[in-house]
Amino acid sequence: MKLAPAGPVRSPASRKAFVELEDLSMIYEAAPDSRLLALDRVGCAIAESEFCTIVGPSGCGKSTLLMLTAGLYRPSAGRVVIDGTPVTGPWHGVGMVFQRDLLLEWRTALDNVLLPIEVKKLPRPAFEDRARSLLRLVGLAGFENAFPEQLSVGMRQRVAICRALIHDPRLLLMDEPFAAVDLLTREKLGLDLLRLTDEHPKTVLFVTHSVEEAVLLSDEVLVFGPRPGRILRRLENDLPKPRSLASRSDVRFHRLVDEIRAVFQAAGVLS
Amino acid sequence: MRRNAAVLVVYGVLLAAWAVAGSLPSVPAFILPSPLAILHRVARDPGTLVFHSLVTLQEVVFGFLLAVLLGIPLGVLIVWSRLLERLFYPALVALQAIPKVALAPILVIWFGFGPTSKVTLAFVTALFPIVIDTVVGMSQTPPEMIHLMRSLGASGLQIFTKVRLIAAAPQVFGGFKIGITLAMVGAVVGEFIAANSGLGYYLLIANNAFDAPLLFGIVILLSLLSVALFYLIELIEMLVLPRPLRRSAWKIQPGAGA
Repeated sequence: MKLAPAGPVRSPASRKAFVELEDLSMIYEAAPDSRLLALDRVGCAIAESEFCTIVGPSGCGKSTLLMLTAGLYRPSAGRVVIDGTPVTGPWHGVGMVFQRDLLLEWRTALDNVLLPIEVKKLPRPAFEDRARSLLRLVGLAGFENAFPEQLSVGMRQRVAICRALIHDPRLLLMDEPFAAVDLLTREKLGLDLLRLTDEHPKTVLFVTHSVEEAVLLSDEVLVFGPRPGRILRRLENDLPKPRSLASRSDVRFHRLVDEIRAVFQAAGVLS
Repeated sequence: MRRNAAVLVVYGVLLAAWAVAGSLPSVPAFILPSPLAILHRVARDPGTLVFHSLVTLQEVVFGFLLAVLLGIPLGVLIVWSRLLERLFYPALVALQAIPKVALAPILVIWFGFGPTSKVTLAFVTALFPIVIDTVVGMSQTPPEMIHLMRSLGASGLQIFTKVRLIAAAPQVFGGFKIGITLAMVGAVVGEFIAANSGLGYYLLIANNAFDAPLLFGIVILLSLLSVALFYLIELIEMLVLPRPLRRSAWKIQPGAGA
């Protein structure tokens, strides 16, 4: 397979880079003679406390990119640098949210949120108040002792977000976190997330295949092209903050959405 | 309550039909003894029946416990390591494929006429479903959950004790339920081949004496004991597992698994 030329994209030099992806390539070897190039020399830098969305079609290696950033997969080439240090194994200052909420059914909402504290063997009492206040922030006050099966899909995902934030990670990696949620709840969850990351500043890498969601939430959008996954365009998002449902009717919102669609169209993703 | 009443009515009708059929002059008593005749025969010497039941029960319980004690670690090892999976899995399937009746004479040669050979046979029969259900239950943990745990710095042991094992519990209990009924089959088969006590042995005695009512009585007792053991496991499951785990550990969400 031939590698397509793709130059690294740099963020404005004015802000300090927190996550640097340096010419990341990922090859999956399905069989001895069948290799899949999932990522092709992806390079970019994400500034501290920036909300960066990655938008692209299915199978463009977006999830792989998150796994590489977390240090859970090893890249075939290139490297990930977080806060100036190359990542060689699971990087522990990270919070992760997936499409599935992955709540443990036998634990209450509160105990699910406290799972990272238990795993990291931190003192539970010290974090219990924090867990309660996180749950309150996402509108789940009074549900601390509810079991996941008693919660709606949207509520469950809120618990999962609290679990990702409980240990105050500096980096939040989200892999289509709201894809299983209905559209109305989805935008509300997104805006809740913005409120949370406003109160507890985090660098966020947020994967989605919804162009609107990518624009509504981000400071910056990375537009990914399919097979092999690569950055087609990097866009600064000038949509004013704080964002609300009203941001959707802003002219700039539509301009950005159109611009991203045009990039996809040019790459042959939309026809 | 109405459903319970319906169940009672159905069983009552079946029993009555049996009683009528058994008392027909054209049906000899040694082919189909009536329920009343069976009850009479059983009531004449309940002590012997209780004695043989206890022998069989003991074999079943020991064989089953052995299968649990070895089956769960074996399942864990199979999930844990590819090498051990290749090593144990085919052997386990091969063992399961052997008719247990064929195994019984060998076990008698090895372990003698006493209960040990029956315990072993019960163990061998119950092992398979317990191992398989442990493997299946533990493999159901979504890969993302493992990623999530690893990203938190969890060790393999932590992922195992905090997530995989607990999540596998409903499935493992399913394996227990199949295992205990199979252990009963194993023990009785063992007693059939060579024994000097146990319900299987007593069944052969009754058969040789053309004692049809006793024969039927023992068969009914065997099935009642199996049912009792099955529901005992279910009771333990209810007591041990937290309520949300009683159905299944991982909920499938719409659009998930992409």
